[in-house]
Amino acid sequence: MRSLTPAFSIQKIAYSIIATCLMVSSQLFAQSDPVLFFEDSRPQKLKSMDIGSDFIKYQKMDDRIGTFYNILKSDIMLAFYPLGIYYVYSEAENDLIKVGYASVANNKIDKLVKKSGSVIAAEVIEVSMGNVKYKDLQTGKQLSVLTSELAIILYKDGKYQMYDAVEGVAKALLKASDIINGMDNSIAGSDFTVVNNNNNNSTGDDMVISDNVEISDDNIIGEEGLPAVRKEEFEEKSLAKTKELEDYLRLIANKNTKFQKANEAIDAAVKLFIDEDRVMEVSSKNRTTVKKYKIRTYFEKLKLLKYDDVRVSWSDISYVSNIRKGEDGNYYGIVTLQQKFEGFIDGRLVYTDVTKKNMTVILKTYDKYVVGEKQTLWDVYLGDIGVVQTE
Amino acid sequence: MRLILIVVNLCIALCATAQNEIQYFSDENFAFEVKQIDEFIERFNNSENTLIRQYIKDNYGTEELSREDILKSLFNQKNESWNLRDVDNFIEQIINRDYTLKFDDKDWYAKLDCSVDYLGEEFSMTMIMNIEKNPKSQAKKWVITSVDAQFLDIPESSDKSKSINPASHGTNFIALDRALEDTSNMKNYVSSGFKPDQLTLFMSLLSCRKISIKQVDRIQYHFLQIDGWAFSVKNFERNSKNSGWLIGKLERMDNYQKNEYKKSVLNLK
Repeated sequence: MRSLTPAFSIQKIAYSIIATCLMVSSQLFAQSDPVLFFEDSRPQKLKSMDIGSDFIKYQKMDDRIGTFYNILKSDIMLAFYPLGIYYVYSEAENDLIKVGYASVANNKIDKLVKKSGSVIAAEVIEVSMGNVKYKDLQTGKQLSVLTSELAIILYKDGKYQMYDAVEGVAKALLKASDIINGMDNSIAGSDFTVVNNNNNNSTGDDMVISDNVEISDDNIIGEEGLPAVRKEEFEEKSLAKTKELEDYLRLIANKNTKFQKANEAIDAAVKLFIDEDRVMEVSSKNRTTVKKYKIRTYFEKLKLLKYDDVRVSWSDISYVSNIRKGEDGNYYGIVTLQQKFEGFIDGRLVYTDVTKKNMTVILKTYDKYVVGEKQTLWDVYLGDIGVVQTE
Repeated sequence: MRLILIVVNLCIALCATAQNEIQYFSDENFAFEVKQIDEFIERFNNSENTLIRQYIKDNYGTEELSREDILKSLFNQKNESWNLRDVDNFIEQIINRDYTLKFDDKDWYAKLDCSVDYLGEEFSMTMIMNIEKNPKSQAKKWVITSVDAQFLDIPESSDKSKSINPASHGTNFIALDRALEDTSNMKNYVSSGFKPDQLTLFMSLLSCRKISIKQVDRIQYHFLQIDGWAFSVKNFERNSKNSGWLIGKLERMDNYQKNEYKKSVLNLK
């Protein structure tokens, strides 16, 4: 018996140290830090993060030079970037699941995510002494829950507080992703727990549905007959896709990119398009002939250009047209932007051009059934691209 | 003072052009450029929250930009032969009657100068397109309304004397096959008033895969929906604030003249 007591004490101390470390590490990333957690739970605070079809590009918070790091999606367990959105890796889907927890649709609800993955729609009143006092938005009653039962609190303003190890938080958030995506400010008080995951996505498995933005009825853009999509959202997403494409182009044209990685980048770039029949048309104000390439052919040609370094810079300005419904039910618009491309060999600038790009962006809607009710969701893909060499 | 500066920027772009030719990567020019026909329509309509308004607000600190200023900036100012009185009257009418252009207006057309491959040879062809709206689904699409190409005309006969003789009926038109094999004199065998429908011919050649579009060389948009006026817009690609899709031609036109214009310039019936 005597021998067991010190062991118990040591174990207890160890537990408390572990618990303290856990709390410290949780507290470290609490509140307002954009952060990603690698698959081994290692954290990295973020300055920026761009998510492509297969790759993720990020900058470290404390890196003064601003180096970009590229990693595979599968290298990430969990990320909060920017505040209000979390990404959690799903092995089943072999992809990162994006969840907006402080989006326009659900930014009036604090989400208490339990370790089991269930979610309480709440208004947090006070967190103290390991206890969370909140108003339950379903019942209107004031209740409380122990923080030891919770994996994380996702606050409506985008901040968050973790109460479990990163792995536990990731598991809970993965389970809760559909519930949180289905939450709506207007339905606070209804049952959030029944979500049908049958994604009736007409685009097929190989298409990239990078976002599940629900179309609301009160934010209509453009002309009559358009879906209820906020123009800013469409513009942001369209521009993000065009920039993502350019990141791949830079990778493809850089000879330091390994052959396999360049091929992966080509595949990823092609997936940004609505289909492989889309065309890149290159013209020049000083040339009458126009060159047309199917996108994959264009990327393959680009791969043969081998620069030591490639720099792509953009004008700060871009124009996004209104979108209009086509006969196929998709919505079409054009993004126009100006880009400078510079290719270096042995540190010398050997090629440069300034181009104006007119990129077709296609808003494609698809239906998803939640609680037996059809919801129309959308995403943006690229279509044909016209490139005008202006210099 | 700021407003004057902007008007100077917008309306006296010629000076800016000269200065900006040496620039390499100009956000300013790109902001002012009318980058798409959609942006032309936005500016013509004096829409709120446009890119140019935001840019001027951000960079010149003013929102005092009149519709007149914007309309003037939509003209190609490198053209020194504008009839300024017509331009003023046109702008005055647009403002007074608050005219706006709609994407699905019926009376505007895209005129495309194309290069086509016909039986292995390159030819020029003009194609006229306009917007069609599905009243049920509200979907819109560009459709071809006419084409115009020399090679789609029936060639002049080499021998006017060749014809289907007036007694052919007596032999149950036995010579018809021989006549129609004589392709160098085809015109002799059809009614003298016959004018071939080139679009039908074009579609027929497309379906036989004897013709294909190589490229679109130039585009010009023709707007005929403003009472008493017609104007055309084309892309002036240059390093200047006054660049992009701009009005290149403005004409006073009544309805009769517009119909004639449609026939002669747009090859419409």
